[in-house]
Amino acid sequence: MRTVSSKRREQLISFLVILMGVGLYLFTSYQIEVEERITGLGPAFFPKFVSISLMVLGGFLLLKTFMSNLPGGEVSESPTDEDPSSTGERIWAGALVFIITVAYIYAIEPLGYVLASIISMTAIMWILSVRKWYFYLILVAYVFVTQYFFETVMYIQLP
Amino acid sequence: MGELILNGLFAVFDPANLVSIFVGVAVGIVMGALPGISVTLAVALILTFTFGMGPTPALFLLLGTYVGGIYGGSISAILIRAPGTPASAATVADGYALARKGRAGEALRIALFASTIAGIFSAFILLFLAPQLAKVALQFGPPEFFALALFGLTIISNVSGDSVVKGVIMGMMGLFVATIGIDPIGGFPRLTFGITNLQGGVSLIPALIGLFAVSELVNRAQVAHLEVEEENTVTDTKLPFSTAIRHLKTALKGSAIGTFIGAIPGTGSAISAFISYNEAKRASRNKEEFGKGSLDGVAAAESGNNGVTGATLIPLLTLGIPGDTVTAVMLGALLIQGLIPGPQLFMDHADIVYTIMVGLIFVNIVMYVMGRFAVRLFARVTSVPINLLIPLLLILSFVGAYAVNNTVFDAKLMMLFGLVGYFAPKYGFPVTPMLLGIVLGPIAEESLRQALILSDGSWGIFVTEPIALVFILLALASFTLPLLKPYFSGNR
Repeated sequence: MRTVSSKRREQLISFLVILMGVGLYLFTSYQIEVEERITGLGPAFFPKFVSISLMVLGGFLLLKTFMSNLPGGEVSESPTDEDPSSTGERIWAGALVFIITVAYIYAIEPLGYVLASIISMTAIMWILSVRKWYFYLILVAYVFVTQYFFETVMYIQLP
Repeated sequence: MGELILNGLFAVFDPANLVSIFVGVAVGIVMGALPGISVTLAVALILTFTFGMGPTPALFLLLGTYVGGIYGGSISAILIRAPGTPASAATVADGYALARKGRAGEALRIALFASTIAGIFSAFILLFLAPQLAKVALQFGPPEFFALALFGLTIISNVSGDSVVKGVIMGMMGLFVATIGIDPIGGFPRLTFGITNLQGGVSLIPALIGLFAVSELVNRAQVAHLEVEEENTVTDTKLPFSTAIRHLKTALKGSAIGTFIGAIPGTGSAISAFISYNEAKRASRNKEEFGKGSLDGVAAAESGNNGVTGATLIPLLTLGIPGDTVTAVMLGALLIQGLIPGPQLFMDHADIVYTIMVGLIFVNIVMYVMGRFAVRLFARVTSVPINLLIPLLLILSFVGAYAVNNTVFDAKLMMLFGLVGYFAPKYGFPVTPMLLGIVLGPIAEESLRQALILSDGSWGIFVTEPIALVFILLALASFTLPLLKPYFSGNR
């Protein structure tokens, strides 16, 4: 369904795509300045080509939102159009799982693979409403089995 | 060619290859049967286990997971009305209706029968068509390869989302990501933000695990607390061979549809399953049975989705263009093994390529044997709770990203791509073109620059070279036709 708010959202997205293209173009020019003087087909050529393409595509997307009758100008549903609570979704659970996984990656070097995995994933299981105690035992066993498998069988040294 | 096929056949029976095939198929069926675990996620995570393997066992493990996963999706579709993979969505209506009538065993067996027929059919087409296509592709130069990369990108953008423009934007973002690291021609470090880990470029594996695995797991985490409402047990109703053979025509038709669609980059098994299902319904004398428990419906959907398994490898192996997301992951596996997909692969590593192609036939046979005798066992995995699986798969995601270069930096990159994979689809931006952009980036850049150097900077080279022109026109058509469609249909 095309609504004014979703149209505005699409315009904002298009504008962000154009901005991103401009930003990437400027960043590329700044980063690869020295080589670019040597030849037009130097290392900056392709990133600039892609940046300009992004600007053009962003402009096209923006144009589509202004011309409501332009074919293909349909806009997708806003992520807020559907109330997550009605479908039983817990957005916060997904966010927490993501945050804990990021923390896990940062903790893995100081704590080591086994300890970091057990602590972080136990927290995730609790957030995901796992209440059966033996599932936690499965997790611990899994951590040790993967460590054994990767280090002993595949010679991949885990942190 | 005959000698290569024979050598390939012998190589398949190497113990390491056999173990990989059996393990791959078993893992694929189990993961495919788990609701919410897509084949892409399964293959991406199994990729982690191939790092220390040789090329053929590694690819057999992945092919087994791929083929088994597509079939495995039908188990949960039939038993609990939750397609394990998008490819099995067409199976749900008839498969679940049969299960509700106490005929789950029949439904599972016809799904297995049709999947195997289609898989073997597709593998044979791959075996005989791919080498011929590779011979043609050997004539390709830089202009053709750039045009081909552009075509691959637009066609995938076309089918992977609602908006072709947004798909191409994601593809372009992927191309930009691919430019990070050392310039392939001049050897100059680019866009590395001064980070040493980025000098080698953004690794494909952390990117794809982030885009497809992490984002999917975070999405699943939001509904992991919900109970699965219904569950059917496998009431072991037999499917006599005489009954199965009555559906052979449908299975063969579905195989042909699946193979044809699978060979076109960017289509995939879900589309072919629905087309095959619709075609079977159209041609059936008992149209009213479809959706209410038709064995023909299950056979059509399953042959349609498994028919793509061999065909998607045709553009991958011959042109280096992945046919879908799973084959994009396989491309990553090939690159890890030091094999660069494309026509040259058939010249430099013909033994490996033929072993893989012949082995794919055997993979399907193994799938049939496993499905035939262990269907009850596989059916039990549909009751494994997703809230237990998520942390286990997150650990595997970390190891997969970490193990590529033995650096935690890649795991951090994985999480960054995970964010993109989570948010982009919510705003209508499909992630598959981004992965394809990352994969095709080096080919596209190198061939574009080489072509322009050859033509002294003239872009006319893409118009004067006939094959390049064809691909450019196809890319343009692929981009513009969906935008013009409402004008032609009068639906403005």
